[in-house]
Amino acid sequence: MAKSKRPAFVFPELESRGRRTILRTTEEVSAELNALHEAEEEPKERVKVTYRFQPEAVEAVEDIRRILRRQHGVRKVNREDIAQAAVLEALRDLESNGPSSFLAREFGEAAS
Amino acid sequence: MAGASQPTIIAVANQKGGVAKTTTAVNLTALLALAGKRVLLVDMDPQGGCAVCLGMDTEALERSIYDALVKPEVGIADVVVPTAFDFDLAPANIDLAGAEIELKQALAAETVLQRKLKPVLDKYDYIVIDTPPSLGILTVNSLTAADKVLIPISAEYMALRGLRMLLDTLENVREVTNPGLKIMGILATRYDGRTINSREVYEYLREFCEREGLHLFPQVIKQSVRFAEAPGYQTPLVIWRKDLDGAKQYQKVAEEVINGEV
Repeated sequence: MAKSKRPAFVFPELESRGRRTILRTTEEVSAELNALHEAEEEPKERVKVTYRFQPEAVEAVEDIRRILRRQHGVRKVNREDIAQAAVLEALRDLESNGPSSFLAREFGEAAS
Repeated sequence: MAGASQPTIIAVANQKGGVAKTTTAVNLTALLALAGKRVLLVDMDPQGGCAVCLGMDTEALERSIYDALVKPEVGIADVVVPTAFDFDLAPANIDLAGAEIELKQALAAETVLQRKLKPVLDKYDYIVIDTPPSLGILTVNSLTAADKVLIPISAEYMALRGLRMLLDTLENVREVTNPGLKIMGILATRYDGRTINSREVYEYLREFCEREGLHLFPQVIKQSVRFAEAPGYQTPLVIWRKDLDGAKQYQKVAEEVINGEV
């Protein structure tokens, strides 16, 4: 009797069965992504605070607004937007540049 | 493209356990770093194997990838820790198991990792993602965030089970969340050329890849007890004993990756 050979190596499980892991559609995921982007773009509620400025700083805010409008065609900007953008930029500068930042130099010198 | 402002993001994925996903992710990351690349290793497996391989206590982590995935105020940069091997790690621990449930409540849950990685993309040339042995939301997140997927398959009959399911999942991810996802290649691991089974499986894999137009890495990773020993030395094998065959085999794979051949 002939000795049995090893069976041929077959693997039917490698045939596609079209199963899905993500049980959602592109449209469903995209709609949620759009909702997330819109939520990020929505302006956050503003809190009212009061700081006193010297007159030239008040004038500077007006000057910025005027220059943006006349020289750069920026129509939709108000005083609050300008003050807020300036403060946030000053913080970024302070965090990135530390002692060489504008605020550290300005007030470091004033203190010394 | 590596070296430009956008890194190449490689997911090391296979839902089968014990196929050397973590070994491949850790050693490939270490070799990319040795080649002077800026690399981040992201551990998306709740077993936290990457941190363990690098000698970190996963229970002592102040923050992990879990925090970045489920807490809106925590970014990837907040959880990244530098390693002793010139690359960064976003470590995981068992907390990440909870993210499987918590992420399902999130909007566009499949894309959380992709969105969280955006702020750190310009800091790295490569981001390597180690994925869990499942096809759940953590793996889907990893595949959605990736440019390419590297599939380690141990050269044994049982490991072929699920390859088709993984390929179907990759197709599914391309359709729904990441049309640009490419298969970098299939890497045969734990290959033992002394056994007929290993040789047969490898040959079958070679024919399958040829038929399906998939890249099979010409370099196999041979079975070696050294891979199991390396975590005990808290060092990737390719650094701990670069003279060993296993290290040289991963070196060949890394060269193929760096040269952009895959």
